[in-house]
Amino acid sequence: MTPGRNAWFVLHVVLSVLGVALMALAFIAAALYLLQFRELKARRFGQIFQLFPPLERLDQLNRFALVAGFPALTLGVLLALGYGERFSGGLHVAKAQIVWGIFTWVVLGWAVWVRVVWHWAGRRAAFASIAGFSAVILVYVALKLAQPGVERFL
Amino acid sequence: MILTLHLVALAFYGLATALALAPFVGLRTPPRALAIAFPCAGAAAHVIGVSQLTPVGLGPALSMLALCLVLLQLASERLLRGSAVSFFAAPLATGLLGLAILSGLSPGGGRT
Repeated sequence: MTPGRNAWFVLHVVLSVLGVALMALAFIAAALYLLQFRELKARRFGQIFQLFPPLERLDQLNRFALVAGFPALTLGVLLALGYGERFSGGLHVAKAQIVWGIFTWVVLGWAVWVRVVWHWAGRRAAFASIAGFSAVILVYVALKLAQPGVERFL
Repeated sequence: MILTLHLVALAFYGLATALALAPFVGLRTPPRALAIAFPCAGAAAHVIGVSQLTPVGLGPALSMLALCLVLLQLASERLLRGSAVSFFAAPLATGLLGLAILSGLSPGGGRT
């Protein structure tokens, strides 16, 4: 059976992509939070103040996206390992893909850890989300440039 | 067929991006119904396109990522007021879908 038609593989792709999308949403909520915070601190009540949601709701969205994204990504990675073991006799993926996958998982885990265990909120949590997502994208681009021939790498 | 559906989705996402950014360049705030209708129409075409894809390769993965982002954006719009999330999410989804189309939507990287 080709990978594209295997339920394990399809579920792995869907959950991994959903995890990364939720991480992107956390980044967006964090960016909106910081922009709104800056406007409020400067007592500017222009378009950003009018159009952006309250700080508390943006903080909640950031937390939800991180807390929902981490299990999705973890399950996606575990399904990839299970698929490799069960259907293709071990993992046959590029080193860059493994490095990026582990790095993404660790960074997202750290962002969830500081929010849930250390109770970070507000600006500090927003900076953590932005730093984490930026690091993941930068490492992805660096690895992709280093190994441009890796077709199945996301 | 898959490429056509993706191009239709790209066009709708492009319009959604223009609407989301309009208030920040001094234009009138578009009606909320319109700001939701464009990403919804794009997502509908995109869902049909993605359902016909083989989820192997960079292009399909980027396309699915763009779809997930748009769906999360629509869900957030229901919970938050205004078009705040689409301010970032719509251009990002449009860019990702554009990249997906450019990198090829079939597993080998070709255009379908």
